[in-house]
Amino acid sequence: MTIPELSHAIQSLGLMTYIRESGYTYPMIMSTHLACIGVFGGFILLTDLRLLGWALTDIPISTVINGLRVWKRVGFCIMFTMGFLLGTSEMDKYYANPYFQTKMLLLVTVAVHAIVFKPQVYDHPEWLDKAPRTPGVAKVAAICSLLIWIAIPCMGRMIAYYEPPKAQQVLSTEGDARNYSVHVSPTEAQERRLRISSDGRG
Amino acid sequence: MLIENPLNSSELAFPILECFHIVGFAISVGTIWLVDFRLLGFGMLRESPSQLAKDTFFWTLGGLILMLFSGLMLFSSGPEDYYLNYAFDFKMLFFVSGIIFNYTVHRRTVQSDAPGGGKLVACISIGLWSLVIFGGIFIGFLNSTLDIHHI
Repeated sequence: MTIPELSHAIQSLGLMTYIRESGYTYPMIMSTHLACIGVFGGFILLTDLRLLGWALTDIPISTVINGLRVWKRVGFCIMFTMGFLLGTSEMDKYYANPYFQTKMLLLVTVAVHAIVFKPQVYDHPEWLDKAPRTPGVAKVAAICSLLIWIAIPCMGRMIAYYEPPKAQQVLSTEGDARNYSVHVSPTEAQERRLRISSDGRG
Repeated sequence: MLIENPLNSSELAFPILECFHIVGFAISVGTIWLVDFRLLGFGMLRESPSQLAKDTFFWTLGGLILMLFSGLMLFSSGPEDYYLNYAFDFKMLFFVSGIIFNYTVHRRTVQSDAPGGGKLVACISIGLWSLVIFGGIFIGFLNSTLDIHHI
């Protein structure tokens, strides 16, 4: 099974087809995805800014990290689930999208970041409070985290604007008489233009 | 009269502005919700709501300014696409309400630090900003009510 076939099989699952074809389910999921950026993204940015000494400086580092830990995890779970539904329901369009690929790669770096910095920085924040100045390792962790977590939503936004070289792609499978015609729906940028040129009533 | 908006001469200008818009919203809404979570009894319980609000004040304001100015520039790229869109009206209604609420009722409640108080205020604040986000996403999914280009 090739990647295009696998992608097509994933987005052809009942739930994914429903999400893609229903008018308002897709944007509702996307809005929830975005709202979680408010909770999770905002809290992670604040934690990083605190480690760098740029925000919440009256509050001990341990209070910030321990107080927000659960909520960042809850936010991440909802955000990931919603993102998973969005991505898999449009898999044909996304698998070859360089911004989508970059975003997935950045999510892997999130795991690497956790493996590298969690034991030293995030698991023992009390140690950071006692240090006369915030240790370098915590600042490096914060800068890496800031860069990764700003790049992820930016890549997410750019996904919608990538225009593939060909709009139509036909796949044939060996030993199968049927040809799968993969319809690639227009990107958001193309839709904007279409909307302007059409009668505007959809 | 035809004035070309420089934002429309580059394919990348619009999405890059949207990235600024999202980062601005993550900072502003994130800091507002941090205080709301505290009012509801979640998050950083060792600090009082007023202390959290004081420490996040400039980040909230900075995020709002970044969000507002990038939003105005996005709007300028095709005003007729927006003001004829119900989702945009919806978003603006809740955005203006959110700003007013945040700097009046919300601010007073947070500063009073009344024990157990402010849960309703926190819920309203979270609700208003959520509706702004939902409105923003739906702008891209609803067609304008009228097509100005065909008049």
